[in-house]
Amino acid sequence: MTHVRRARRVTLAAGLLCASSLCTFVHAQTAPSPAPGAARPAAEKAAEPSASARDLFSRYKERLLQVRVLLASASEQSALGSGFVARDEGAQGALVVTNYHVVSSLAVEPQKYRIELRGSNERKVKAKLVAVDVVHDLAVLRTEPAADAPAWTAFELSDAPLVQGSKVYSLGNPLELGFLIAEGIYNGLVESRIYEQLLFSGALNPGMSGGPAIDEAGRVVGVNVATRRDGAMLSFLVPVRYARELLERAGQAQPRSEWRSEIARQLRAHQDFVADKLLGSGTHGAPAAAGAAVQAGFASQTLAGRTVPTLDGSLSKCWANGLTGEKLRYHRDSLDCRLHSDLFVSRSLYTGSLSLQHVVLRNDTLPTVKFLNIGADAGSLGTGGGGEVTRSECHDNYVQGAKHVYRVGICVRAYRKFEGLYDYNVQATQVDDAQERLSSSLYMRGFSFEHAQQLATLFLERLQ
Amino acid sequence: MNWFVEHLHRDGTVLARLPVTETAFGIGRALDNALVLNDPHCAGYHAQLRVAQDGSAELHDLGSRNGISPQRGKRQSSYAVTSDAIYSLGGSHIRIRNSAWPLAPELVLSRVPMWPLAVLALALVLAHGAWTVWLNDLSDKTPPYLYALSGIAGGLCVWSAMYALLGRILTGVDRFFTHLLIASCAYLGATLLDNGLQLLAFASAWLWPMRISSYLMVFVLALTVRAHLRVADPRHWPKLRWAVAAVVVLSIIVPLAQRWLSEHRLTGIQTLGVIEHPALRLAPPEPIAGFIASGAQLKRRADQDVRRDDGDEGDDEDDD
Repeated sequence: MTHVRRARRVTLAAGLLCASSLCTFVHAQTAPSPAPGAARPAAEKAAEPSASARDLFSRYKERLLQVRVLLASASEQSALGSGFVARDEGAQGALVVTNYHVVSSLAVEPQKYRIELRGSNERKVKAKLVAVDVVHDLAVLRTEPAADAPAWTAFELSDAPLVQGSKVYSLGNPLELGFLIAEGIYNGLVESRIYEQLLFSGALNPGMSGGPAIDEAGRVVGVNVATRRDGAMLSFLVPVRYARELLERAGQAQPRSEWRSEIARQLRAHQDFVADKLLGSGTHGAPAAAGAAVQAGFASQTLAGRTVPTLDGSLSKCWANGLTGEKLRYHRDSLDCRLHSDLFVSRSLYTGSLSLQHVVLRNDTLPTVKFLNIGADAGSLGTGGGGEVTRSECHDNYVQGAKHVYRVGICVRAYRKFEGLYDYNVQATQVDDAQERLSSSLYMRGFSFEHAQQLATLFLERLQ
Repeated sequence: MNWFVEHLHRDGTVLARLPVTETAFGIGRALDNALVLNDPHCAGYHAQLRVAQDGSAELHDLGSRNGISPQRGKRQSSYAVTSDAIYSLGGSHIRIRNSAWPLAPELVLSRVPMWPLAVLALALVLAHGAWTVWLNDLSDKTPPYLYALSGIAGGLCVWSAMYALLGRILTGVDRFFTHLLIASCAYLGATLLDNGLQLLAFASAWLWPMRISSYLMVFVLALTVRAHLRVADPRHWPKLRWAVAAVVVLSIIVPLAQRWLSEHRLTGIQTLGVIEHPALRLAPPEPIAGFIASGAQLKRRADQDVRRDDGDEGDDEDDD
């Protein structure tokens, strides 16, 4: 049972970055063996391969913590992760950094959960959530001070930039097997992300989420967050500067028992940021001027002779797909684009993403009736709901686009726990040509209604 | 001017027909009655039919506990018999008739053979089936035409055979081809109706034709069953109709009620997913700005859903 739990934890984390369905989780059985000859400069005399990792681990294991989120009614763990002491404030307790997704169930339902921290020396201490950063997947906990407890020693946070190829060590307690250190290489920033993340070529396993990644001098350079399931040793770290910023906020934060409004605020800020990137700056809250809209917003791309709106290549990855076959008498070309901006909010809720799809069907030699019978690729619109979102509320009609007539449906769902956020789906299917059909969809999750309306207008206007 | 008393089965078949030869015709459980009823709910001497001098007849109750009830009208202790009405004596049924009363006209025996019509209708069904399979024949592999068509034909034949068997058991006549004709016509009618509604929805941009489609199909099915039962079991149709009506009402209400309980609305069809030939579209398109502006109501509706769901959630937490 607990294994499943833990596996799910980091599987979720992996999902953060694995927007495509290509991801599969890879269970690394052991920490990777350090490269031969690896030694930190200060210990060059140690010729043994793993001397540096050994030194680092023995020096810093006291500062590592296992974060256990307990279901209050059962006092048993429901989520596990790692964390590290980032600042000791003496009588007020120590500040511990971990991932937001480790403590998300507590953040969403504070009455049902509590947090316990466990050190490598079996030291147990209770902690409270004092700050969250949903966007970067970070959280700060404050330990409850005990009278006769020994003082905490904190990790030093690095402020020097890393060079690609530098050695980085990731620490944590994977699968509750015990604290370990895993060696890997820092490989620069992850491409086409809205928010910065570090690419770490090393093994991260379930349960290591929230643990520190340190350089050879023992300074924290990042926080373990996720791993790519369809790759090998492709892991991701949150840059430490976000942790530093969050610690600053946590230092002044008032204790609070309710986090939903704060999470909603951060999600709204996130979608403002994403929408601004698409709508162009200066259009915040107001409809984009016609000139600006052409400059900013959706890029244009040609798909099978049709000009369709897509996302800017620097932010997203698009996949094209064509139908192949011997006897094929029609063409079907599709384009899927996805903005890698989805955030983990709770086990059942990822949000903040935007994706779009275009499908062009063109008749070559099929009889018209047969061509018309090929489905509209519709159907998912208007279904779903329940749980985190309300049922879909839809509106549809025939709409005159720039050149063609489309049947357009809009479906909207509101978030139950996070005010002001909506899922907004648009689906447009061309209905004025019996030999060619463009079906386009735009899916926006966790957007403000006004931004979604603006983006939908822009999207429909750009369909040629 | 002869009177006859018929002892009837509950379903109307005549069990015995006795001429009334004396002025008093006794009916009851006792063996010295003219008509002996083997019915524990009858008295020994239950009723008596008295023929008067002028030839008129009256049915008298002889003081039985269960009495004599007419099929319609008030219960009395005696009845003047003027038409061939049915009377219930305890659990038995009798009918009193007079040879002088007029008979219903002779019915013309239908000589039209059913099988050519039935085969024609089945052929139309199979043609439609073949058309549907052909429409979906887009890939490299040829679809299994023969399996699909024999499946349709087999299904309709088995369906008809069930009613034919019922008819054979109840009335001795199977009328397989009549049932096959009914089933085939129902299939064609349902297809036509469904396609017609789709066309209407596409042409008009209305959603209601799609929304009512499944419920109209229930009606088509009910009409089909009605036609089958009237052929297979005409005597029981007057009572079975209520059962069929109840099933129809339930099969419409239950899905509606379930959807209302789980989604607070009556239909799952929110957008149109139908593609037809562009020439069939009659509804004019709306400009983008107007369409998006009228989408603003969705925000209000979604917010209302949140408030209503919050209410529900409160209840749930009480349960916890």
